[in-house]
Amino acid sequence: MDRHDIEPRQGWPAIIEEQGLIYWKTPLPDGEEISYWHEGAHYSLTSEEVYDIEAVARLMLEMLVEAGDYIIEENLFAQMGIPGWAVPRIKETWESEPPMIYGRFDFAYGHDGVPKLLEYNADTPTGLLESAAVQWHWAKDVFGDGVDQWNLLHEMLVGRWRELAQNGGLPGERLHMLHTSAERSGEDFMTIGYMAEVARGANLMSEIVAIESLGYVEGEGFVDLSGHPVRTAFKLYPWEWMMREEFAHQALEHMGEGPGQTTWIEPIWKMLWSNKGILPVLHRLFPENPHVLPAFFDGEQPASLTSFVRKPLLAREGANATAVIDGKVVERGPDQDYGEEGFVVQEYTDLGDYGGGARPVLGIWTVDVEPAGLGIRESDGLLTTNTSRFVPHVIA
Amino acid sequence: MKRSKNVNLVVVPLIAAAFLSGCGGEDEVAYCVDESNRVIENRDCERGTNSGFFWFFGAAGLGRGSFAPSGERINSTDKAALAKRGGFGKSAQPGGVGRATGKTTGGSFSGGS
Repeated sequence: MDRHDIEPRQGWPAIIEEQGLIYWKTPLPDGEEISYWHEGAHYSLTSEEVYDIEAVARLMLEMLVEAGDYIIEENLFAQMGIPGWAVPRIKETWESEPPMIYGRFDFAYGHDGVPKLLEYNADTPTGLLESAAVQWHWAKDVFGDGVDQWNLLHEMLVGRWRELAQNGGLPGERLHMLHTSAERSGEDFMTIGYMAEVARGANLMSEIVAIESLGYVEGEGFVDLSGHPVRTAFKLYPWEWMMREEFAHQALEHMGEGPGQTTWIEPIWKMLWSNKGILPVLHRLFPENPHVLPAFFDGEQPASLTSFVRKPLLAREGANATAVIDGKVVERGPDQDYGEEGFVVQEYTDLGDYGGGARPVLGIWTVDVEPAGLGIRESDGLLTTNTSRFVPHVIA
Repeated sequence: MKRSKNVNLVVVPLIAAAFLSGCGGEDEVAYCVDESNRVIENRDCERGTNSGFFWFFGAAGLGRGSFAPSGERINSTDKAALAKRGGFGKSAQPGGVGRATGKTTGGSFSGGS
């Protein structure tokens, strides 16, 4: 994989905003703004590299199934900070397999060419629109119709919704697409809007609803603002937040396919995979696997581990993560009060400097259990945080 | 070839424009309506904390103040009034689920109709 400088398209901000990337400006604490979308550069991968990484992602999905079984057998829920009241439904849905749509692996891809799993965003992955649509249009605009890119996301998402609908997996007359209205840049809203777009591609009707306005009627279940039942809810809102909120009990009680029940996408068992506690579990099960970095629940790591990243079990965007090299703290992610449930410690791995200090993380999208595409974010520092940039790619 | 054949965006540009401009009513797919199905300014869906508004998809040609046709948009029922609301959403940080840090991006919310 290589990184190349390239001329941005004339008028690119208007182009990406029309394609929904209205949240491309990232405000910094000092009041400055930086662009999250960066088309002054791009990455190129060979087909062989893509097939290699794809194979690793497939293997990782199989390993995750074993890891999920292991968590349940060994009853690691408390250690992972998963509340006890969620456990029965997690176990039940792990077996019954209600609909799931997507996820995103984050891989380090340093100069040794070995993809190494950093984490799996299995419940509320973002960066979807820019991966599926914005970089696709960039590639066509810049390199023409013959260009290739690892990006089957759009049609696989449409196909997945269609498949679920045909199999009767989506109860109700329409989908309710839930986002939080607390998010003000438009990122969450446009991500859920894009999901409504691909559902529309599968001839499904969606209503976009702020999760704050979701209603509950005693004995009848969840309703929308009109009082009509919410039978299938796609949420861009993490289960770990839902499980500590007022409606947690109602969501658990009314979970299912029948009248008065709600089918939630992603399903609640995704709390197993999206939790950073999955990383020490994978290491415990597959200690020799070159794609799994040594990782430990905090406090269980050997003293010999002096270069590592310490991450909260539940956090996003590098929040409250700390990078330690040779025993010294070298970088801290933004403080967003994560970490009360505990931490994991993962061996430090070099993301690789691909030019000018740019360190990429490969976001490998999965639709159902298939690898579906690639979105790359790069940072100048060691941690991928909310100031990292999305950089498009091509297969060369 | 590992690239999608076509990525045709219909919903996304409309709601992006509505979100950015803070006004709507001209578009043909996304509407902001209140509890009584009255079409209102899109910015009222996105601004503030009023949860009494929501997006409505599917019909065309409605101006502000008109009523969404029944059949597309389901009529209100007693259950809407009975429902307890606000039981989800309290954990959301201003940055939401994604990358943003929570401050509004420069000028994105300014502007009116």
